[in-house]
Amino acid sequence: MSDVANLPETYLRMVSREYMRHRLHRLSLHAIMSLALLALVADFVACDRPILLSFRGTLYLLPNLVDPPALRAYDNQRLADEMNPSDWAVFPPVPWGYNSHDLEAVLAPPSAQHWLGTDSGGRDVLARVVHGSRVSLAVGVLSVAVLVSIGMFIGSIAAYFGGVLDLLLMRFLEIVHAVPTILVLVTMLALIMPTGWHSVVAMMVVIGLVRWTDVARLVRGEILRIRTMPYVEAARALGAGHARILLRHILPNALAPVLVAATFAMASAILLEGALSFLGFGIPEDMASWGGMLNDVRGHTGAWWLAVFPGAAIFFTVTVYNLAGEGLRDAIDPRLRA
Amino acid sequence: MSFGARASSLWVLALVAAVGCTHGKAHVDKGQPSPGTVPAAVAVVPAGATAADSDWVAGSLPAVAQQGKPVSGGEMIVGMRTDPPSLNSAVDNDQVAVWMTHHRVYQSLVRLDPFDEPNYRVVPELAERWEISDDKKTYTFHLRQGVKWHDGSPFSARDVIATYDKVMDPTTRAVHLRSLLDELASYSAPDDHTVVFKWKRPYFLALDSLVDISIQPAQVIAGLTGTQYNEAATNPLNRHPVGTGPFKFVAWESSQKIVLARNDDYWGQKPYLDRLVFRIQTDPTVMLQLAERGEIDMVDLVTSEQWVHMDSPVLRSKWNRSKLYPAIYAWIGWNETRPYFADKRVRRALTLLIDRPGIIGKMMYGLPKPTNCHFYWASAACDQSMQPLPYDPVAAQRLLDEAGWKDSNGDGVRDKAGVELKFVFMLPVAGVETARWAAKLKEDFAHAGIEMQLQSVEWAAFSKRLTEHSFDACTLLWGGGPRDEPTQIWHSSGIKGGSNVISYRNAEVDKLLEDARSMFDDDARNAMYRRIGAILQDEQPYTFMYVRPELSLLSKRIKGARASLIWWQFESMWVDPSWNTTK
Amino acid sequence: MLSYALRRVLWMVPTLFGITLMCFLLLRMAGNDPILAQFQNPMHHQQISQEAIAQMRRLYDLDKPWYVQYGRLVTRLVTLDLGTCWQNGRPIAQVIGEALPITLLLSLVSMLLAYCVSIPLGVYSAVRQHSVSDRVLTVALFVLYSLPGFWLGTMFIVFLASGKFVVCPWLPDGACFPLQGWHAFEGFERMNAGAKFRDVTWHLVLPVVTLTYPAFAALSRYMRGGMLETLRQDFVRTARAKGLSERTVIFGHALRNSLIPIVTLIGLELPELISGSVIVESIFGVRGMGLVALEAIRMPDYPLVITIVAFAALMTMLGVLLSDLLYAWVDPRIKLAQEGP
Repeated sequence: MSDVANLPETYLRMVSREYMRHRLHRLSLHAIMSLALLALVADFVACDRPILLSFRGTLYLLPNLVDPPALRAYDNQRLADEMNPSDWAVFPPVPWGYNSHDLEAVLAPPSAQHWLGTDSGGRDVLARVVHGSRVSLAVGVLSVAVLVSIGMFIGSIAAYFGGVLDLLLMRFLEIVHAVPTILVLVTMLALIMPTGWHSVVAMMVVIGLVRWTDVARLVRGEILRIRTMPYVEAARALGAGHARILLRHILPNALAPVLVAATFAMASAILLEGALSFLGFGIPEDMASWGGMLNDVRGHTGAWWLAVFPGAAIFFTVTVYNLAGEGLRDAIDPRLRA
Repeated sequence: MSFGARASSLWVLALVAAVGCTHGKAHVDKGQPSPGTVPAAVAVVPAGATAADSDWVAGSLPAVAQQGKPVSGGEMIVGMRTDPPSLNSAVDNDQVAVWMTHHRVYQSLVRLDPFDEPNYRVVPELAERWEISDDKKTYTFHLRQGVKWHDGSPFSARDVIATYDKVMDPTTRAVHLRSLLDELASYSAPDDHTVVFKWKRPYFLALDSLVDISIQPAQVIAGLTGTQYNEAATNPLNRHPVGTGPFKFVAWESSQKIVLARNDDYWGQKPYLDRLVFRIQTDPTVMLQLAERGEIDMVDLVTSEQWVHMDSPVLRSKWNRSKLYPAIYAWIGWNETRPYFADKRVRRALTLLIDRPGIIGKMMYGLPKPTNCHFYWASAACDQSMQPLPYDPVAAQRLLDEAGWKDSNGDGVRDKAGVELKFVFMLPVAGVETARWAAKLKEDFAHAGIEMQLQSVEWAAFSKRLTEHSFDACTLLWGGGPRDEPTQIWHSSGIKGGSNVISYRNAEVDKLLEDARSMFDDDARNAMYRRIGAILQDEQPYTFMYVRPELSLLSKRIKGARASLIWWQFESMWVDPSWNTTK
Repeated sequence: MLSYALRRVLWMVPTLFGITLMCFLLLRMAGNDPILAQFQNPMHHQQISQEAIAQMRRLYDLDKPWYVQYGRLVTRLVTLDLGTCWQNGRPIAQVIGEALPITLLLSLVSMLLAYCVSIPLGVYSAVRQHSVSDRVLTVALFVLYSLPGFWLGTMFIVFLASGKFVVCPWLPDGACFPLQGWHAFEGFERMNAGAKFRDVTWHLVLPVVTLTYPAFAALSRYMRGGMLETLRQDFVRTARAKGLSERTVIFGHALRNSLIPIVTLIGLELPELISGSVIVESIFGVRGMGLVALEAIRMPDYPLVITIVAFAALMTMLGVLLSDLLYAWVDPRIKLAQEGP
């Protein structure tokens, strides 16, 4: 790999070519991008306001995004009821928000009105699945960012400086690693008592705080390996400082395996968020979280649609991230391919 | 730990669903939630209706349940959802232990008359009669003579003193009972058959506060230290109660059953039942199967889902259903130290924005009943003619505009003097049902330009934040029994250290509460309480949500049962020997 | 090797201290009041007096500074005098004594099943490398690996145990599997040994499957990799050259060698299974360590939480140690001492 290190461009191209060679890996990449897109445009897919509206002589642009105060008291249903023949509107394909209650259809099975049924509060399952992708994606991306930063930092200083610092950090790592994850997460979330989008931030921080150990270990191992390589020796001989050597010469080369670990960590963070919300911790009821939606099945075992759809969403997301991680690993180190 | 075991108690499930305090502390005051029926006042079923399907009516005995002459003998099996942590309700604040032992095995000096709906007046139990001094501060109780403990030793004033010594001992876990006796100045026994209680102030609930304290035998507890009294290893009563009541404790097989038998030496009317068995069954589905197979005679509390979907022909034809609205209500409190909740127009508007008919009718199977009264909803302390505020979003928005809360900066949220109408709604964790309607409130509030976030909080943190007033709005249940003295909640003195968690202040309410506390004339006091109710209705410091029914099943084989706020009275029940042949 | 193991065990002591201290501080930081939670009735507005609360605090050491509190907790842990649960005064040893066997039963059965299924699967797909069945298996296992346990468990409940969709009419209430618990709620005590065994088996099918399937993917993949590597080695080539049948080569020679990596995973699987049990137990209402731990945290019951966390951490570390030792034992090329503690 040392020869590769000096030619990052070619290396990148080689990795991506290698990755794209497989149809499944290509598909997983497309799926990941589609999921990200869905999270981005969730308000256009499912919302309780129209996308475009001409109402009583006023044209509203994107009321689904901007929430015009004049339409505050309106949702799609009320608008449809009160619109004059001269008014018109472009409704989103799913005319329900993730927290729109349709009390006439509490725990309703899939129908023309609610394609994937409703939950015990009369909320549209499809709208909630669509918006749940946001929470899922946000928790995944951000917690991985946190855990990779912590892991890289601790791993690299432990490896580079070695000695007592290394010993202490590795002890610390062992402690964090041996702590039962779910129990600690539950304790931390009970401590923070988050609301709204804060809960996503809280979730990402706590997951990041307990899950960095694998990355740290990986980075430490890589650096210990790279540190002794001739080009690092050369840099040192040329009088480069610690920070420069670490940041310029060592870390970039340790990045590839970290990227693989991060992709898998993404899948496991999404799983963990689902599990925590399923247990009733973390994402509050007024948000849409796939795990939290599954929780609703507990009291209503007859409502199969509550079990099938949000769970399938988690399953699909986790699968594509795992696939992508797999592909990346194979592409980076073809030897690993069995 | 029995956290889970208890949280799965049906009764607690009901609670969990409504309030969500998963640790399953049941409430331990005068008004033990009791299975019963549609209350007399709103009886859907005409009095004396005998239709097999009709639900029972509190306080009245359905005709089906009283045919024939009571017969002695037989065994009754009651399906209970949880095993109590101990059978000493003085060390464990646990409702199941109270239900099983209080008035069955143990007795108090006085008790509430269970058949006196809706007044539940205080009647003698171990005290035969009592005198109240003119200043209403000294109560002299004359104890019943000839009463024997189940171990054969005679009952005397020594036992009463020993019991109260343990309750008042700061090292015992009887905290919940001790706090009922805050007003107690002293107690003493001038002779073997008399005890004298002195109170710091005249207090109309002085007698009521003795109702929950089970008298325990001095020969067992007098020699124990506080810590010894707490632990099952050193206090035999925790696993093996010895009382003076109509039933004797026989056996306890952990997580299986608790067996009581008739006390043939009982001083009063002896029970008809030979044996009374509490069978523990944590799973509500299995419990219903047992009922269908006739293996139990009573299901104490079924879930709303089970109640609504009860389609088994066996259950419908051979069982009576009981739906009792207890003296417990769900409320939302608006913390008045927050600038937006200080104005009563805002609070009224919030209440008007809450779609209670929709929430109760569509999300909760129509089972709860709306309320707007702090007291037991059927009692004379509630003004029965006062209607809850309606669901009226238009009026609500008008009120908000009037109060000056308008969206002046165009961000979609109302504001006034730089303060946005934005707040956090604190819910107890695992209050599944509560969270469900709270999310609905969020949507409806948003349509009115109010931004609300939900926050689920564990009970340990919840109770702490209540006492510290560190929340914006919250929801919980209060249960006060058939008679209640709500100074802690509504008097301004309750803001510090009391239960006036929302910092409510109203001079007239303060005055009324002080006067009512020492008012021994029921009618006059209830008039004061109704006046308080009218003020609360006007000011809406709370939004009173609903009263959730307690739902139970009772086999038609059992006769003589009557629903009341004070759980079931097994002493009056009997097994109909002809039932098996007539079915 | 003995001195290595000893050193590792010694290192566990400070680690355990660190873990328990971390959890204790977390709980304390939350500032939730166990006394209020315990004695303040959620439904009753009768406030408990400040003096009474202060008394109870003293009784539970809650009035002491954190290091004294922690010191006492640890002392009890070390002396194995676990004390009693705060909520109901039951001895902690008894609570754990009831919950632990259930969790262990779940985990052990699950581990056994995981190995019994994964080894043949791995061997099969290695031998048939690049065949269609190998590909199908690989994809299927991969998919299983991404399947969320809490979802699968919920689906089991809805479709197999609710009696509403898949119905087994020959069973008493039509549901093919029980909804909750690890044995029959009624009449279990009266069953004879055979009936008990059948009953527990029936109850554990769904929880065990939910707990086990994630291990299939990882284990059989390891097995496949190990087998492929072994098959490439010289002695296998020699065996083949000698004209031994493929069967003998694989089962007589290669299998034993390729078991090495997978056997060493036993130690790592165990703690995994114990933490996985939190979710499985709460879905299927099995009262094992996972549920007890969740409840203790919500309380919060300091002594119980600390005991369970210490126990789980100890299991994790012992598992890792066991893994390393096994690895060194089966593969003498590994030199433990160099690896550091």
